[in-house]
Amino acid sequence: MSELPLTTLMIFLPLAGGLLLLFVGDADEAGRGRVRAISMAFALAALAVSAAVYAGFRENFAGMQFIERAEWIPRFGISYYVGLDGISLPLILLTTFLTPIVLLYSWNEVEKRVRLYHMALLFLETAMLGVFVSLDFFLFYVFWEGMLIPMYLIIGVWGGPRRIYAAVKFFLYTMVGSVLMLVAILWLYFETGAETFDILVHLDKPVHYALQGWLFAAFALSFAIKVPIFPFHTWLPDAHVEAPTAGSVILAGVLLKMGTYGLMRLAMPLFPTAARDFALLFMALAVIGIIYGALVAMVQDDIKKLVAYSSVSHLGFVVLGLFSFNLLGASGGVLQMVNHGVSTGALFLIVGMMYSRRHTRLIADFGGIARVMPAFAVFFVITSLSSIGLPGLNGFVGEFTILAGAFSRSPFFAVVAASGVVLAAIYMLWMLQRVLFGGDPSPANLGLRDLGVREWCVLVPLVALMFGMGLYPKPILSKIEPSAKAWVEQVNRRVLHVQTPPEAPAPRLARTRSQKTVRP
Amino acid sequence: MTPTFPVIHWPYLLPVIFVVSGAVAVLLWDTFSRSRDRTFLAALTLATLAAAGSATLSALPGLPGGAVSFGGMYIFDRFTGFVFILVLIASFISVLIASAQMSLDETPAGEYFALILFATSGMMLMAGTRNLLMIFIGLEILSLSLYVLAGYLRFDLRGNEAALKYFLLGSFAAGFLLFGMAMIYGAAGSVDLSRITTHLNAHPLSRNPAFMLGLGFIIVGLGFKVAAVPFNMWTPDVYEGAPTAVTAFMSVGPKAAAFAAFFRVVLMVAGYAGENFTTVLWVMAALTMTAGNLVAIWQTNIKRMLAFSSIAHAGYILVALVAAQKGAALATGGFLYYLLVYSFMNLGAFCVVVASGWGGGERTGIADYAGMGYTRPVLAAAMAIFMVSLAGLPPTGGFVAKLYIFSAAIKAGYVWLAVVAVLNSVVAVYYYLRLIVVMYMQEPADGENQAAAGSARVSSYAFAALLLAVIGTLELGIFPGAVMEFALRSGVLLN
Repeated sequence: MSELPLTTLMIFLPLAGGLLLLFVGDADEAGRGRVRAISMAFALAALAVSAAVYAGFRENFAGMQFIERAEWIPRFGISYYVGLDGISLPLILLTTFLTPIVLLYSWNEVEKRVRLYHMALLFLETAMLGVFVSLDFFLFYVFWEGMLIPMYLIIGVWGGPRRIYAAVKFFLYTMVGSVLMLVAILWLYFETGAETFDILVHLDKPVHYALQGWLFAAFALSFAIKVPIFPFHTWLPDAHVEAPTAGSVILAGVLLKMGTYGLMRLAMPLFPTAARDFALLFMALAVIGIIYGALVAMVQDDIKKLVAYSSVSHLGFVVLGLFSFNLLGASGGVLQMVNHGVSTGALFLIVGMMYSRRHTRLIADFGGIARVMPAFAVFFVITSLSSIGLPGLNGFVGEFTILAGAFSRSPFFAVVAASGVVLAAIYMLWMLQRVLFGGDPSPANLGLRDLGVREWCVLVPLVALMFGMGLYPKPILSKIEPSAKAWVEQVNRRVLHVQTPPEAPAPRLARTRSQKTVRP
Repeated sequence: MTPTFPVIHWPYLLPVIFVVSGAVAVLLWDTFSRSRDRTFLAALTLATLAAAGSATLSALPGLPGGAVSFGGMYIFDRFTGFVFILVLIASFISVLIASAQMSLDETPAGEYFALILFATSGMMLMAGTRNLLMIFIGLEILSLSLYVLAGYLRFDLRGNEAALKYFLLGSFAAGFLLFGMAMIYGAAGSVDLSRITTHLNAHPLSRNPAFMLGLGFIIVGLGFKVAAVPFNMWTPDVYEGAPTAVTAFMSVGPKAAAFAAFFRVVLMVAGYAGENFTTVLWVMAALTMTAGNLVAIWQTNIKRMLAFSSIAHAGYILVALVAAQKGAALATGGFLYYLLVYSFMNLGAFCVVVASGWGGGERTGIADYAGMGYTRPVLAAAMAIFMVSLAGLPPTGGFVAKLYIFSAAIKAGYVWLAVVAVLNSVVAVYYYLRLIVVMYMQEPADGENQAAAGSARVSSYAFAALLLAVIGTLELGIFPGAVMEFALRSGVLLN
C-alpha cells in the first residue's frame, strides 16, 4: 500500500473540483463545456482512487483499513477519523462509479445553471463518500447533514413542476430523523463516560440495557426515514418523481443506502440487544414494505413512480436481510444495496432517456417502441430483469442470499417476502410489455431515435456490471464476507454486563446523578 | 469604620475607558470640526472598537481568576473578557453595516456612531459587574442609546413608532428590573451578588416571598431585554421599524449583554432558589424557542422573520442557561460560543438585507429575493451561508454552536429540553430554507427592478462586513477547536 492518504484523497477530490468550479464561468457554451469537463475529471479521479483502494484492499480481514486520522477538536474528543471495511467498500465503489455516469448523462441534458448543478453533484459525492468512511460521530453527522443541501438544490432547482414541495418535504423528513439521532449521539457521548466521538470505541462499549431502547429508537428512526422503511416512505415518491434524472439516480443509487448502511454500521451493532428486541417489528415492516411497494408500483401509470415504489420494495429486502442477524442475511444485504443501486440507477437513467425524447413518462403514451428503438429496448429489458432478480444477473444473488438468511430466522417472513419477487416480476414485465411491445407504436413514437453514443456510454458499464456481478460475484462477496461475519458476531453478542435497570425513568437518570454537582 | 479607597485594576478597565473616550471624541469631533466627514467618523469609531478589543485581548493572558475593582462594581474575569470581545466584534460589524446603509447617509453621523459606542460601553458594564445596580446602570446606558437609534430616521413613521414602542415597553421592563433588585436588597441586604450568596449560605431564602418575587421581577426585566417569550411582544415591530443597521445592532449586542448579566445573576443564586426557579426557566426556554419558530414561519417581511428567529435563538440560549445551573462550565462555554456565532450569522444576514437593496430601498419582503441567486450571486451565496448557519446545519458555526449547547443540556440531564430544542431546529429549517428556495428556485419577479439591482454595486463597507461575517460563520463551523476551548475556559465565572 502506498503512502498516499487514499481515503482522504478520494473523499475530497470531488469537493476540490466543486470549489474549482467557483472560478469557471458558465455564461457561454465554452464555459459550460469547461465546467462539465472539470467535473468529469474530478469524478473520474475519485473513481480511480477508489479503484486503487479496491486493488489494495486486504481480503480476509474484518477490521477497518485505509485508516487516516487527525486531531480536529481534541478537547471534545472529536477527530478526523476515516477508514473502510468490507461493508463500506462496495458502497464507496458504487458512489464513485455512479457519479461519473450521471455526469455523463447530464452532459447535454442540463443546460440551466450548469455550474451550480455540477457543484451540487460534486459536493454531494464528497458528502456521500464521507458518510461511508467516517469513523467519528461528529464527522459522520457533518457529512450526513452535508448531503441534504446539495440534494435539496438538485431537486429544487432542476426538478419537475412540484419540485419545491418535494425538495422541502425531502429535507424536513430527513432532518427530523437526524436531529433526534444527534441527541442520541450526544447522550451516548456522556452516558458511556467515554466522552469521545470515536465510533469504534463506542462499538466496543456495551450500552446500558435500559438506555439501548431509547437510543436505538432515535438512531433507527433516522435511518428508517432515509431507507425508507414503511411507513416513513411518503417523501420518497415525491422526491424521486420531481428530481431530475441525475438526482433520482443518486437518490436511489446511493442516498437510500445511507439508511441501511447506518442501520448496519451504527444502530444495530451499537445497541444489539435493543436491535434484537425490535427485530420482529423491523422484519414485519420490511415485509410490509416489500409487498406494499410492489402492489403500489403495479398500479402506477407513471414509469418513474413505478420505479420509485419498486425501491421501497427492494430496500425492504435489505432491511429483512439485516434483521435476520446471520451471515447470509448480512452479506446478501450489502450485496443487494449495491445491486439496487446499479439496477435502479440504470432504470432511472432509462426513464430519463424516454422522458427527454417524449416529455412524458406515462406508460399509456408509449407502446411498441421496441420496434423503433431496438437497442434501447434491449437495455431496458436487461435492466428490468436485473431488477426483478433473474438468475444470471446481479439482482438474483442478493435477493436469494437474503431470502435464505431470512428463512433460517423466520420462515414465515421469508415466504411472504419471496412473494414480493413474484410481484416484482409482474409489475416490471407488465410495464415492459406495455411500453416496449404491446401493439404498434403510435405516430408520436414513430420518430423516436434510438440510443446515441453518450447514452450507450452511460448504459454499457451499468449492464456490464449487472452481468459481472450476476455471473461471478465472488470478487465482491469475498471482500464483504469477513466484515459481515464480524458484524454478525457483533450484533449477536449478549450483553455481558447485565446491569440492574435504573430505578428512575431514563431522562431523569442523569439529573439525579448530577445533584451532587449543584453549586456550593 | 475607616473609609478605604477601593482597589482598582486599571489595565482591566482600559477596554471600557477606550470605548467611552472614543464616544466622547466622536461627539466632540463632530461638534467642533468643520468637515463632518462620515468616513473619518466611521474610521474613528472602528479604531476605538479595535483598540478596546486589543486591550481586552492583551489583558486576558495571565489573568488570575479575575480582578475585582471598585468593590465588585467592576469585575474582569474570562467571562467578561469573552463577552467584551463578542460585543466589540458585533459593534464593529454594525458600524460597517451602518456605513453601508444609504438611507442613513442623510442623517448626522457623529451622534449615530457616538450612540453606538455609548451603547457598547453600557453592554460592557453589564457584563463586567457583579453588582445589581451596576447591571441596571449599564442597561440604562445601553437602552437610552438604543431608544434614540431606533428612531434615528426622524421622518420615518415606522421608525418613530418603533422607537416609542421600544421606549415605553423598555422603561416598563426596567421598572420591573429595578423593583426586583430592590426586593432582593430588602431580603438579602445587599446588591452585590457575592454578598447575596454569602447571605444565602447563612439564611436559606428559597421560601422568602420578597426574595423569590425579586428574582421573578429580574427575570421579567432581563427577559424583556433578551426577548424571551412572553416578554417578546415588542421585538417584531421594533425590529421592523428601526433602520436595518440599528436592527442588526440591536439583535446581537444588547442581547449578548443582557444574557451575560442574566447568567451572572442566575448562576450566583442557582442552588438557593429551588427547583421551581429552574422549572420557570425551563418552560421559558421551551416556549421561547417554539413560539419564535412557529411564528417566524408565517412572516413575509425578512426583518420580522429575523426578529422571530432571534426570539427562537434566545430560546436556545436559555437552554444553555438552564443547563448552566447544574454548574457545568460546558453550558456557559456553549452560551458564549453560541452568542459569538449568532453575532456573525445574524449580522451577516442583516448586512445582506442592507447591501442587496437598490435605489435607496432595501429588500425587506421575502418575495423580493426571488431569483437573487442569479442576479446577485455573491450576496445570495452569503445569505445562503447565513441561513444554513442560522438553521444549525453543518459545516457552519450554527451547527457547532447548537451542538455545544445541546450537549451541555444533555450532560446536565435535560434530555427532553434538548429534544424540544432539536425538533425546534427542524421547524426553523423550514423558514430559513424558504429564503434559499426563493433565491435559487424561483425566477426573478420583476425584470426591470432586478436589472437595476443587478447593476448596483456592493459598497466596500458592506463587503467588509460580509467578509467578516462569512469568515466567522465558516471558521467557527469548520475549525471550531480553538474558539470552543477559549469559550470553555471563559465559562468559569468569578464568584
